[in-house]
Amino acid sequence: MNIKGKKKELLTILIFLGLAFMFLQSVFPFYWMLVTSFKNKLQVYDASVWVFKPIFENYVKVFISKNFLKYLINSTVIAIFSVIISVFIGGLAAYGFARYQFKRKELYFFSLLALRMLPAIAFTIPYFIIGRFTGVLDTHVILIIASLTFNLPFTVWMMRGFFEEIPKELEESAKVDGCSTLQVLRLIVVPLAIPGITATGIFALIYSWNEFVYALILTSRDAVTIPILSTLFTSVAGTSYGQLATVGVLASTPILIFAMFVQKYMIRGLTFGAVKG
Amino acid sequence: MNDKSKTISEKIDWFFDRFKHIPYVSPALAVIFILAVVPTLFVLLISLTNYNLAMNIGKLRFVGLSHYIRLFSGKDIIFNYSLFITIFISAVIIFANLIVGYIFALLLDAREFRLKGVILAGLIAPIVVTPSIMTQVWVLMLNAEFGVVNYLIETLFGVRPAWLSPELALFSVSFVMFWFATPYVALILYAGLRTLPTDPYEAAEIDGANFIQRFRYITLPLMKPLIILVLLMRFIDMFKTFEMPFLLTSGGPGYRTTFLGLHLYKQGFGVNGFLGYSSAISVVLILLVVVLSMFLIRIMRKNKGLY
Repeated sequence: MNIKGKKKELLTILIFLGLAFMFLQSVFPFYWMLVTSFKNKLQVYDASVWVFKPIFENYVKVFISKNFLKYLINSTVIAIFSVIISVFIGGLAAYGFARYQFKRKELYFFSLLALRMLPAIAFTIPYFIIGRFTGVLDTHVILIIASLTFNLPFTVWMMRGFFEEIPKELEESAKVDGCSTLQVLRLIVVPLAIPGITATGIFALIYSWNEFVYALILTSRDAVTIPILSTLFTSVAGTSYGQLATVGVLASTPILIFAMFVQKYMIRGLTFGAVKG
Repeated sequence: MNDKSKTISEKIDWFFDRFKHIPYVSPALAVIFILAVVPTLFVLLISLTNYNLAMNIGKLRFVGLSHYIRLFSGKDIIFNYSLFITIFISAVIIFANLIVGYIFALLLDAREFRLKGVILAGLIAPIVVTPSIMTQVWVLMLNAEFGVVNYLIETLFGVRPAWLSPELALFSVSFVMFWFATPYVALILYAGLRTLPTDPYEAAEIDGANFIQRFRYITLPLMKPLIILVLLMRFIDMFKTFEMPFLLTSGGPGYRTTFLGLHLYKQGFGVNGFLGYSSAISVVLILLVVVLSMFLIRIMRKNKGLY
């Protein structure tokens, strides 16, 4: 008994050491980013500085000389429109897939997944050429449209599961009570699906916020988003890592907060609803 | 009651009832068709021309399959190399992801404790935060002279490896990709471990099965569909690889870290501006991903609602 008890204790210690290592390797780059954003110009280039007096110079500079607000607005506008359009159109489709039986239903549904998987980089050429000839290059519009290529199939996939979890009987009895189709949607389906709709929306928001490839090729000056801004700190004089880290902190804080809201649905979101978790 | 006295709401209702799924499903399918299928056809068309970024549109010529012939005749050495690393280096990274991810999942599954939410939140961070920004943080951390990685390594071992040098660049880029993806694999495998039934393990304990036997004969068969799912999703992800090599090394030194997506980008939007040729690479990339997606779809359909 004693030996077995000691063995178990040792195992527990090893497990917690492992967990601690896992946690540290995962969050260390974030810690380093945060620390770097508060360093002065010289400390940035010295990794032996771990304790120092934090300064806010980088934050001031990012807002004033780098015009961070402009990029923030671009990213936000694009993400919000992308989410609204994909949750509305995608949600409607997800409901159709959840509630109706029709010919080749699963074929259509799985084709959506295949389209979600297509690499953005392979699509940049047609989008670039079409954008060039229609004059929408470097506008919010083309990035919103491009973001639908991944967000729309995603919302359909993710939300179908949420709608299928709503008991059909509720809708049927509401219809018997004289509710119209739209009333059923408005009064029963949407209120019950709100957690799922919110989670899906937040995932779509994150995907749009993080998008790099389309933004790199389809924007040049006016519609540049935050991920591209992060590449603009390198000049002949070197990279201003302090400001870069500051942009990183400012851009990732909202994402981390949003992600914590949907932690419960994380597995589901990462596997397009395939693994319920 | 004739049609005119109907309210708009009643008309919409009639419409939705009459056509069943069509009003729900068709807007999304139409939009996706326009945004994905049309560009695919377009890129296919461009790949058969000599289209060039700086070119006068009047000089556009149909060149048939010559871009494809160039790609597969072995003349484009960088294409061969990028295809090779996109497949084989990816396979190595994914294998490492699965091993380490599984260990992480086991650690998470081993004990219940109060701060587990915090640990999970820490794992989620690399998955959700903008990859281009975190890659730039890695550029800073991996800097040979003032990076924190070398500061720690020098303190411990007294050496300062040049992480982005010709010898180490591919390893470093791969490591950063590995770092990004491991939490993703770990979380999904952890979710799988948690849904495993307890009965087979109890029976195995009575029969005196050891750790390896339990893994080999119970866990692995039960987790197999999920492992294949993660594997395919990761492979598809690796074919999309762009930000990490682009920001860490821009494909260099030389072309050592030029993954397929980066080669495509450099040919089309780099100095050359060969959009026609670049389109042919796009078509190859799309085909590769479609084939992988087919496998993924088959796995998902076969195991629907398993987890």
